[in-house]
Amino acid sequence: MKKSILTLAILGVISALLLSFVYQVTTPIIAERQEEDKKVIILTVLPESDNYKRVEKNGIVLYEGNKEGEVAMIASGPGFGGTIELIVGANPFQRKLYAVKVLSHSETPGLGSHITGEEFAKNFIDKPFGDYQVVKRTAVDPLEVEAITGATVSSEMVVNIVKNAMNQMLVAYGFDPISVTSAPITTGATDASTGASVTTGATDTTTSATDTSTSATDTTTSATDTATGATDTATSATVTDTTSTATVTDTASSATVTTGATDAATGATVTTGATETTGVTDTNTSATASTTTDTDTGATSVGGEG
Amino acid sequence: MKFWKIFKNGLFDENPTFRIVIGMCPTLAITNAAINGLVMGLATAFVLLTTEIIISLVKKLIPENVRIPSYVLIIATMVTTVDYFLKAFLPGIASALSLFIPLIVVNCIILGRAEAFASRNSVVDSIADALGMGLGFTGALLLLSSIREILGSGTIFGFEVLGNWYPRMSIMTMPAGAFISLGILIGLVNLVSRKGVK
Repeated sequence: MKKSILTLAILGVISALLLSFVYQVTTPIIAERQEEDKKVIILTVLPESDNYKRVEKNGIVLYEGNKEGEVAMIASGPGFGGTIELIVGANPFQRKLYAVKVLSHSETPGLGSHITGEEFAKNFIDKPFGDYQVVKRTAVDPLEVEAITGATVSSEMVVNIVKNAMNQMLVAYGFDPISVTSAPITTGATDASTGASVTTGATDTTTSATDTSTSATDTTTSATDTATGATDTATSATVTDTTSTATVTDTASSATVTTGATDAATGATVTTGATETTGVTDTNTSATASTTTDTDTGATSVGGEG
Repeated sequence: MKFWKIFKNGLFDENPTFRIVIGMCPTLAITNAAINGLVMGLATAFVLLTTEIIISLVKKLIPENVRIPSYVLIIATMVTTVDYFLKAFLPGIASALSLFIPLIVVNCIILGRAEAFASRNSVVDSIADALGMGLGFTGALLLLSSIREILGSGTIFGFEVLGNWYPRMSIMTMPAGAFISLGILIGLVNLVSRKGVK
């Protein structure tokens, strides 16, 4: 018995020593690699910059290239199989998109995974900002994105994220966001809330309000957010209502921002400076947030960053 | 002579994938591209080699009743080492293999060989066994992943071998393709080996 304990203890100590050595040797290399990778990726979407600096605007992390106007940002949103993370390089001053690169995704291998391919990436190279549409044929208009065969949903989801990113950039630099339509979210994933919250840099402060959503129609495509005396800045995204009394959590599973969403909130006071220009799609699973009483007591609705 | 016999045993006669059919988790999960199969096979072979050497050296020092936890500890140490080194020097592949590298710890080939071979044989024989089994596993993964990559993506190690005329069988890159191709390969191996017996 004593011998067993001793053997295991000695083995454990040797193993710990060895591993701490390996850890010390490799960790700086791993960190350096990741930093380098990130740098390389950021610079690939900024055509003329050879360096960048990290800035934060409206709570969004942006990477400003040393060439005037070139900005990159990491954007994410729901895909068909899980969250898709992209890096978008653009010039919000000239309203020009430089390139889009997929950082991570869990789309179907062999189908949706082609969003990482060059063929698909071409759709976003040196394009104007605008309301991109996915088409199932050869793209003729610059604002048309050719869907990947067998992966229309994945293509549409990427386009949604790109559109949101463009608007977030525009707002971050003080421009008006462009009006965009978004494809409804279709996920193959079981968890609808995956990747639900896409940032809005806006903080949606509901001051001691009772958000009684009576007969609100929350549809993916058309809805209106009428908050009494309030305008809600959701620059391009999904707002996750984190209510303190938390009866209803609006899982806006889509990054879909539709012009004019309906969310009749009676007596809700939402104080935030801006207009919900692009709208929010509140996808309540049942799509009707009727009888539910959503009491936001001094709650702050925060759109987490995507 | 004995060395080669043991080596050949692992490579062919008792090939872990096609004959004993163990270590199926990584075999089915990561063989969608040839490079993944190769690296996974080599990582497993490395862990197998180091653990078999260590275990055959210390086998007399480890009391019978704690041998399994001791083996697991040794294996886990080697696997963690491999994991860190891959992350540091082959980050792309490390992210493609993601959690399957740490899962080498529970790969039954390694614990199985530690228990069945290294704990009863000399260091030299254990090296032969580890090399045979490790390369047998690597070869099997490489074969399976090459077939899946060629049929599923039309490429091998990322290089295009089949032109655009070839309709990509995307099922081959998905889990179902792993089962189908593994089944056919095991069937073929059995067919060939039976012919030899008769």
